[in-house]
Amino acid sequence: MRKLFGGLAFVCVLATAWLLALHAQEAELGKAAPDFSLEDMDGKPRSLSEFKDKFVVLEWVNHGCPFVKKHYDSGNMQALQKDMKDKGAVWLSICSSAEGKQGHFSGEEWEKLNQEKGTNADAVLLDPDGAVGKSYGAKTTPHMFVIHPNGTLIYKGAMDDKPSTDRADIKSAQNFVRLAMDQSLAGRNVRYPLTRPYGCSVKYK
Amino acid sequence: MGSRGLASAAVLFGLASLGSAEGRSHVAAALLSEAESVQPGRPVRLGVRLAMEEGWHVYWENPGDSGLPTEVLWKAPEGFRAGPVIRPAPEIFGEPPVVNYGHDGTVLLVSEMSVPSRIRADGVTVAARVEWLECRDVCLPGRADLSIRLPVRPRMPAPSPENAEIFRSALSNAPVPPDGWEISAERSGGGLAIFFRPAGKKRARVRGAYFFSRAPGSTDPSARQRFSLGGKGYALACPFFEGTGHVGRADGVLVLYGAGGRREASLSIDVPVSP
Repeated sequence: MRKLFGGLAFVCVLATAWLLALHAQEAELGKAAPDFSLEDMDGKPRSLSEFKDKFVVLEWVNHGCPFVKKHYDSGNMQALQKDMKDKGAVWLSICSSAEGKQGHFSGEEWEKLNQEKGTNADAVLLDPDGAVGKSYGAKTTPHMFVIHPNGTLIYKGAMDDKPSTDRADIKSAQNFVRLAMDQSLAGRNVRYPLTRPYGCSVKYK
Repeated sequence: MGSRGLASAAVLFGLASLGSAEGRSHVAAALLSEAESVQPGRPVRLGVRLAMEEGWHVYWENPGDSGLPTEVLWKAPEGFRAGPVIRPAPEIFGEPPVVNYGHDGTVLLVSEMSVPSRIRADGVTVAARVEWLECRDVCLPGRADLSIRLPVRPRMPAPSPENAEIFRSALSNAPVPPDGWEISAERSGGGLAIFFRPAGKKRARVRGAYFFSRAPGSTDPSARQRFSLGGKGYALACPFFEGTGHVGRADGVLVLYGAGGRREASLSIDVPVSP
């Protein structure tokens, strides 16, 4: 009987450890952003750790989504990418659309698409099994993350404060990514480090 | 007679100039009136009906992890005033990490419009702009500009034979005030605990519950809510959305499930949350 309880207790400890381990993978604000390795559109593996000591912006993307179209067709996303890169950041667009779902493209198709959209991203990374998206808790396209040069996550959330598909809203919107980066560069605390993202659901498998 | 019939059909069934910004819309929108005419001083109920194609859904006032709330903007002559939109209790769509609150099938979003006690014209036109996001595996923004013209009559309006049943059914499915229930809420760990039990003569056997918070970003749609029966009656633990430390009120729809997971009641609640 005692053996049985001992065994049960052991299983409980294991289960708890497993749950904690699962939780630890989640990208948490103010903690080290989880490292990852994903293929870019040329099939080359790229990892977050390549960009140590730099600001890194992660953008979850699906070009079929009307919220993503709002920011690309207006040039808003490309302008933000350029601005962030001018300020020293690396910009990684991540696509977690599963094969057969909206927004999933082959490397070749991505190359064409990037030209068409005029993206200024440093790389597009493909996450068709969704593991990296889920480890970051990416819910929507777009869903934006900013990582400090010291490796901690300093922003997680929406592109801006106007949840809509309407391009006309961009002009009066407060862009949270730009704000987070500018405040961090100025050595200040990020005023809105965590916001509720808006957009289409990420098309996980 | 033929032309008169046509005119009255147009009056009662304001057709949509509908469309999504791109591609064909999968939601048909129409503006309906519960009554055939308007009497000065007597409120009238109007409803926006959204009929969705199989597999498509639109969103509740809190869309959940993604999506956009369905919004109705009324435009009526001076002196008319639209009350809050009465929506059906939402359904759950998707799975973690993206869980949504919305509606599929056909829904009627009802507003009670107050009517001034003096109207000079012999008819009034009420318009509504409806904006939604429709999703299946993909999403499209949708919008419709609807309008309806109703004759003004001095007598009590007759219910519209086509629409009265649609309104009755929609209103009987809308969340109800929690009469006969004792409800309280407190902050508990990283979330909200809602306690509820039948009061007085009320009897109920609840097998499960779910709380749809009206405010986006308060409770976490992707987190599992835990239902239990304890000393204080029934309890439902609802984890907060990431980054939310406290909410002042538990404002939303508490859905109660009976045997076999059937929805027994949808209670519209708004209680303070003790810290």
